[in-house]
Amino acid sequence: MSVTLIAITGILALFALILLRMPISFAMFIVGFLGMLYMTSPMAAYNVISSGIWEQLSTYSLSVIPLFVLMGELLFRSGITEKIFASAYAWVGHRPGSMAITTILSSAGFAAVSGSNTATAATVGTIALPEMKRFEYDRSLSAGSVAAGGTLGVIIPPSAVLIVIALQAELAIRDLFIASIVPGLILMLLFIATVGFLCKRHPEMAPVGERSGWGTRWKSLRGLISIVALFVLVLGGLFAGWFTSTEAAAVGCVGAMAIIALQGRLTFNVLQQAIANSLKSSAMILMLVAGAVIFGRFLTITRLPFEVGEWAAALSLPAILVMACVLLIYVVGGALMDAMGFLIISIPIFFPVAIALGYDPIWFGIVVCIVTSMGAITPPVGVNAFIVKSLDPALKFGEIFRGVGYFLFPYLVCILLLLTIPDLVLFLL
Amino acid sequence: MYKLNLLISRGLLGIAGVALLAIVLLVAANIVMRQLASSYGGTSEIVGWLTAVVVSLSLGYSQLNKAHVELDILVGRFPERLQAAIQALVSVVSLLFFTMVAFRLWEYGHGVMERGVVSQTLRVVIYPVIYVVSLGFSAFCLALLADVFSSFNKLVKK
Repeated sequence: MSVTLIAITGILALFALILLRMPISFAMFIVGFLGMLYMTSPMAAYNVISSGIWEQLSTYSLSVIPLFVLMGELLFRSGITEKIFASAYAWVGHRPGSMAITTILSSAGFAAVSGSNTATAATVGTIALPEMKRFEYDRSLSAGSVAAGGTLGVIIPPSAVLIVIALQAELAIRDLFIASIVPGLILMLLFIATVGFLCKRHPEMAPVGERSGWGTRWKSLRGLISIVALFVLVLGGLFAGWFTSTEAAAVGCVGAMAIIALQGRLTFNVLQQAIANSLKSSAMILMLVAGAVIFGRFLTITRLPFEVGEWAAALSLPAILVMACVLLIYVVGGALMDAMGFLIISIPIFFPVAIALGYDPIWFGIVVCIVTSMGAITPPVGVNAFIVKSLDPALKFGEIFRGVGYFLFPYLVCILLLLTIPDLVLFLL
Repeated sequence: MYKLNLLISRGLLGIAGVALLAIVLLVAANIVMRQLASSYGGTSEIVGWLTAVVVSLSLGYSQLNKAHVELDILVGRFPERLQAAIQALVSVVSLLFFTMVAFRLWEYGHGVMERGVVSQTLRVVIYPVIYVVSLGFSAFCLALLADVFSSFNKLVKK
């Protein structure tokens, strides 16, 4: 059997196991190990699952994941979301679609201290959905703004997905975080523009709220001082080079604990729940990372990723067209699978393609993060749609997905912008 | 079986939680020390070991809570009996593979102990941490064994 055929068989076996509902990380471990066993020697394969796993799990840089997850979990319990929501409403409450815009601004605000898509949707949705119901907002618009706003959680730094991309592609976490700021803000503004456009054309979708006085507006910002200070300290320190990413995350955890303590909410129970949830999520993410390393080693031995890259570069097609095809695969993959799972499987294959086509690795990391995050709001997986449904069981899936549909156009515009003007990602670096 | 599993996984999760807090404190303390005098040289080694402890000792709990990402777009459409059979097969394969991983990690730790391998910076033995990681994977296997029993139970009942 040729080496390329072995690699393709391995990839097909991986997808077969995943389709049989085997956890993605387990499937990568097993196929990677069996591939190594076939391609090298039993000794080499056994080394990969003993010393290889040990070396992988005991890497200093990996500790950044549980630390950032813990920071988000702590802040989730700090009640900060209510303050972000109240402040955003004070500023934009009188605009058409103000509640939906407030939801998106709050999601972006929470995303700035949390790295999770689901945590952002669940946290903001808990407050936003009842509020929009109270103001008799269109049900689809309410659901769509919560679900789409949640995706900002993995695009605006810090982001667990960006950390995993950085580890997978051997990029600097700091660079990916810096590069994701502008695309995250562009997407947020496009979401807001979409809400504004919809509500101008269909005013019945979103009754306009009251205008808050300047006093109320400025006063509302007081509640955000601690969270803004934490954001500036953690990401500012990271961007300025004061901290490594692990240190920034640890500072974030200490800061988050201080914020909860100052609010009198730091109890043993809160700490225990935050830690237990962080450990559960971290074990899942780090198993994905470790599984991907083993699967990636197998693919590297087969040289398939490099051959695919060379083949793509040799195509007599414009690079932008090939990249558009690659991104289309990410759209489909992100829709079918969990974003992190698909990124982990696909990066070893498509990263060399992007490099061979002459694209900047940081640009590619950011764009695939955005493209796959769209999968959180598209069927059949659409995890954020399920979160919205669990927060408001009265909503029908048809209503939720119709609402989510409004936000797919801004996603498309954002991706096209980044594809045609790569500097939007790179100019801050 | 489930209760025993829960007891073990929660106990190990408690240790993992302490290890996570230790990472926070150690890294934060190291930043302060760097400002005052010089940073502690062994930080990255200790944090690396603690990360391995955090991940491995959380595996059992995360498996009991079905935290690992899976894709359900095909099997969920099959008849229930076939679903249960596939679940049983997947559970057995996962259990066999990770039992081998736990055993190989234990063997690796033993080899490291026998060779007297020490860490590069702190010059201390590292095999106890490898044993802890192997223990974490063993608890993970226990959770997978519970899945095997539960999936076979479902298969028999259908």
